[in-house]
Amino acid sequence: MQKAIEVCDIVYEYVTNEEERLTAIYKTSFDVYEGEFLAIIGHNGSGKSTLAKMMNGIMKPTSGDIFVYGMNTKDEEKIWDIRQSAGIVFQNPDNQIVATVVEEDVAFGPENLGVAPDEIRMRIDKALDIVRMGDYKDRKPHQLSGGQKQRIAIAGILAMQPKCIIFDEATAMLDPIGRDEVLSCVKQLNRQNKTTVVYITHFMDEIVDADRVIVLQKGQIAMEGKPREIFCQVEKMRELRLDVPKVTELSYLLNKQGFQMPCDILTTEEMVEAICQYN
Amino acid sequence: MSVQLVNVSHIYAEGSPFEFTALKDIHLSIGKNEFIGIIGHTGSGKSTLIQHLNGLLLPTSGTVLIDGVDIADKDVRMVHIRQRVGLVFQYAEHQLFEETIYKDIAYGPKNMGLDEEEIDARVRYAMALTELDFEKYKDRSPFDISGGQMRRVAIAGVLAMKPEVLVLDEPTSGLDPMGRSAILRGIKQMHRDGEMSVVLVSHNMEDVAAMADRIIVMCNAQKVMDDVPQRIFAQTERLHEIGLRAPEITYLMQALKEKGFDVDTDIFSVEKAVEEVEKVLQRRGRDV
Repeated sequence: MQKAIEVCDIVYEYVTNEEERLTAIYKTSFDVYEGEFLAIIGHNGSGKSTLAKMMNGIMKPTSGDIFVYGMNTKDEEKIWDIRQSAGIVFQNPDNQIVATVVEEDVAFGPENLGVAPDEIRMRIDKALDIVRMGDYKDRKPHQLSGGQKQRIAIAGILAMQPKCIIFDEATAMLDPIGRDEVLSCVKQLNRQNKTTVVYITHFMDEIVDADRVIVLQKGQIAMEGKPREIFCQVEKMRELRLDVPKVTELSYLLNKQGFQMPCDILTTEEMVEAICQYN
Repeated sequence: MSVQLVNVSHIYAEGSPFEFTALKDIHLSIGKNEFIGIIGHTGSGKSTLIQHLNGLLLPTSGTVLIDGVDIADKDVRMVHIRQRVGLVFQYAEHQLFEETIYKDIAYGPKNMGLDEEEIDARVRYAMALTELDFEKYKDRSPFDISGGQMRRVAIAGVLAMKPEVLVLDEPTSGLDPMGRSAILRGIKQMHRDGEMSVVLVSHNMEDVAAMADRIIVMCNAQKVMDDVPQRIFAQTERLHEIGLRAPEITYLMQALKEKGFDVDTDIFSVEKAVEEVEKVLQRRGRDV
């Protein structure tokens, strides 16, 4: 498989106000493959956001290298190519919107890349279409809901035609339907447009169909595997200050009570099925 | 104490082209020792509503009464209202500013003009309720601890004023699952031991279902539901229409019911679901 991002033995250190040296990421290596949906989870302070910001060159590793489509993030001459290849969507939609009209906001990225006006027009329409916000192109961003604003932020990234998008807790501030809207949009991008997705979240139920999950603890990889392999380890996840989807926890507790249920149930449908099959 | 909102409306930038009605004809009464959850889509008016509870915002029309006294009355001192109704904002840790955790928590009581001894007692009380070890944390900088701990320091700062009503806006957002449980456990204990009413605003339906005795649902500036959690979350379709969901487990119970299993559907927590599903599995075990 082709590699989209290569993280090679990186360390990230920083100095606090009290001049204490702290390590956010310690000797970590992994690859992100072209077209995959990679989820990254971990407790607060585990290094998730630091890692996200290093993956498109906003921050640079203290040692080690990160390659985005073969380009080293430390290569200042390549920085704009890197950011165009790997876009990032942050937590707070209000901090990511720069213009007063939706379509102007989406145009901001490609305009800065020097894309021709006709081409920009096409890209805006396509991007808004993908996030299902085409009807809102003349609206003012502040009149939109959180989920809508976040989808505009995604459209702004899409208009730069990145091959990979990093989502850093992009649903953390949204209401339940807003979360659903953004998540289904991310999944669609990954499946239909083949965009590589790196998805950081605290909501375990959002990543049950990820291709792969990396669990960070104190700046290092503690677990890595398919969602089913990760979430069936309920006790280990708790040790790492994390949770599992509610139905997975239910099946774990039923097993503890002596009922033999599959321990890797991830969805409501699977749980219903397991109960129907029980004998 | 009681807080009553009588026919409260709030319009931002009234008369300008940006006029926006954030609250419309709200009637609401908060009694002693209640635990109320407020849910609603983004922009439904939740934050505007809670800012009326302690006079940070005054209604454009209508009245807010605290123990029967109109807070817009010129004799009412807002400082007193804000001590009695403590408001913890979203991302409250952004408001920490002191050199040590002790000083930060002591800031409120100090401004209330309490003596040193009482201030000390209050800081200890607030830190105990938020599960922050006094000796370990008192002299540390509030900026050198984890996000979840910072959030707890910020909540402690409000608790140290011993409010009679504690209002929390999304107290767990952005926290990891364990940090979330620690905060919620603390809030539950504060409600029990601190004898205060709690108003919890959250997008997390599981949290609200687990904590609140009464839920208020906001939609487009209006209060559209006000009932016990069982009756609120039974109306899944109505909730979807207004941008909300029921807790995940509730959908499982509904799906089982549709399959013909004899189960309660007003279940929100995994613990309760275990009991209910056990009964089903035991019956199946016998039938087979």
